[in-house]
Amino acid sequence: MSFDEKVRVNAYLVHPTPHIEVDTAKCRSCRSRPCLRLCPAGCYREQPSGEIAFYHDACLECGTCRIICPLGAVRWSYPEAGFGIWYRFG
Amino acid sequence: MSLKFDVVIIGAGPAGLGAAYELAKRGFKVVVLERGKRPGSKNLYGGRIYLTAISKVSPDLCKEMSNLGRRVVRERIMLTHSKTCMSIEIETDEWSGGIVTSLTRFVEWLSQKVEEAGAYIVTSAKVDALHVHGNKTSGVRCGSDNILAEVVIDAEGVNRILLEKSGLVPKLSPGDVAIGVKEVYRVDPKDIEKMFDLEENRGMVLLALGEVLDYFPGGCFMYVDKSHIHVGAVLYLSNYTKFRRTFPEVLDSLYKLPLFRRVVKIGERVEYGARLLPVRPLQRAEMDGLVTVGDAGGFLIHVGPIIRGVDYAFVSGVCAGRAVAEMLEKEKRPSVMTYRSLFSKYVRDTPLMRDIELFRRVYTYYEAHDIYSRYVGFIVDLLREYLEVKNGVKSLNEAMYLSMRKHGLSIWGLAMDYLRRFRKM
Repeated sequence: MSFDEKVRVNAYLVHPTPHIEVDTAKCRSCRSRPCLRLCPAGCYREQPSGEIAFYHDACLECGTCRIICPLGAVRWSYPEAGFGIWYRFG
Repeated sequence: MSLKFDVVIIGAGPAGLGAAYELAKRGFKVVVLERGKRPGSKNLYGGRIYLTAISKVSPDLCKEMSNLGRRVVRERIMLTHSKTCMSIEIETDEWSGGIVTSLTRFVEWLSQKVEEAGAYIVTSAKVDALHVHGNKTSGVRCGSDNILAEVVIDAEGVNRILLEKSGLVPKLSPGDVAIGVKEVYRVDPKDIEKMFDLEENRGMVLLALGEVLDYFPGGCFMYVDKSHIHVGAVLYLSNYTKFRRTFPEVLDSLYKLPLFRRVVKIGERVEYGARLLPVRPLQRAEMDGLVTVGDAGGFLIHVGPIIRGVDYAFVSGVCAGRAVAEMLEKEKRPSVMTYRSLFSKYVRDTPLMRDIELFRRVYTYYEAHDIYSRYVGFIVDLLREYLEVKNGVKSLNEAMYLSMRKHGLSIWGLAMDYLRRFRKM
């Protein structure tokens, strides 16, 4: 099952502005790119050009990318009050 | 706008609400600030709440709590290796294994109790910063509002953004945490009871390690609740660069195990979530006017298959609430020294501090790769060599010898390893 299919069952209130900022210029020189595998929601995607693109709408607010990014390219914060993932079962 | 409370609590999770309940009950003016739309909407865990420690500190609440889910009467540990699964199971009706429940349900219930006790819970309220001046915290900033308080109780969770921002704790490193990813399946209670051979209101817990997680530290789980089944995986991030699969891939291969496959087949998938959990003892931040509880205070204990998150979050919150109440009743000015001694007094009746001490001593064992690879493989192969009839029948000694050789272990090595690592446990 793909990332998109996994998160499809979730409830979100997506804020138009991303709560996480990724300095994708730094990602160009990153070889390991652990975010591609370890972000559980697949928010980090490799473009055909080889660049990393970040999409915040499926974010589960777990904080993994903040901890594993080897180049410190992730400026992490929680979404604006009331926005983001809405767990109904937890 | 500037507001003034006796106590402001950051986060309406099990820890923050535990503290709020105690303080509100004693008549303090308490506000809980929660960034989610509702209490519980940002909470996620594996699936089980242990009740023994809770019953010691809050017997009244514990009684009602125990009706929120299925009582655990059976636990199974599954060792998986080369497409083989070996299970060890324990079952008894006299088991203090807690309950399996939905954390959202639990937190919503608790928030009602807290509001009945007289605290304000403000949702959709994200705290942006702590007001820290020198060695004293005087309140928080929340949007354009400044909220002043005698004491701030930080229950912001494992991602300690506010404490980090104020320079009170270091940033988490990959070795400090594991990532937990899980799915919730809705299944008819009758089907659950038939499928797992469980009585009404009885539940079970299942843990799998070894091959299911590519032999990495961590494991997979299943928690059987009233009408929901929680399944997922916990992966230590200490060695994250070597982990080659994505979590959807991990779950897909987990669902090839017989029981998991049946859950996925008859259940309706309703949620997919993730969180971090500390697997090393975290440094605690306290100062005059600032107290930390729950994950933010490092009150999660992770000792092998036993993860005590919610119960110790709640217990730490309750004890912190009582300590803060007594401190504010006695003294005009909150001091960290007074708080610490009062907190120890209230926590003394529970095994919390003793367990944290144990956690401090043993956490390194559970990061060791060979437990999840060589040891799991050795045990599975031992039983396989012993039970499988290929040509002749093997004695237990022979089977042990063959399996040891296969996994590069020896009696001497095992004995040394026991002395070196496991004796202190």
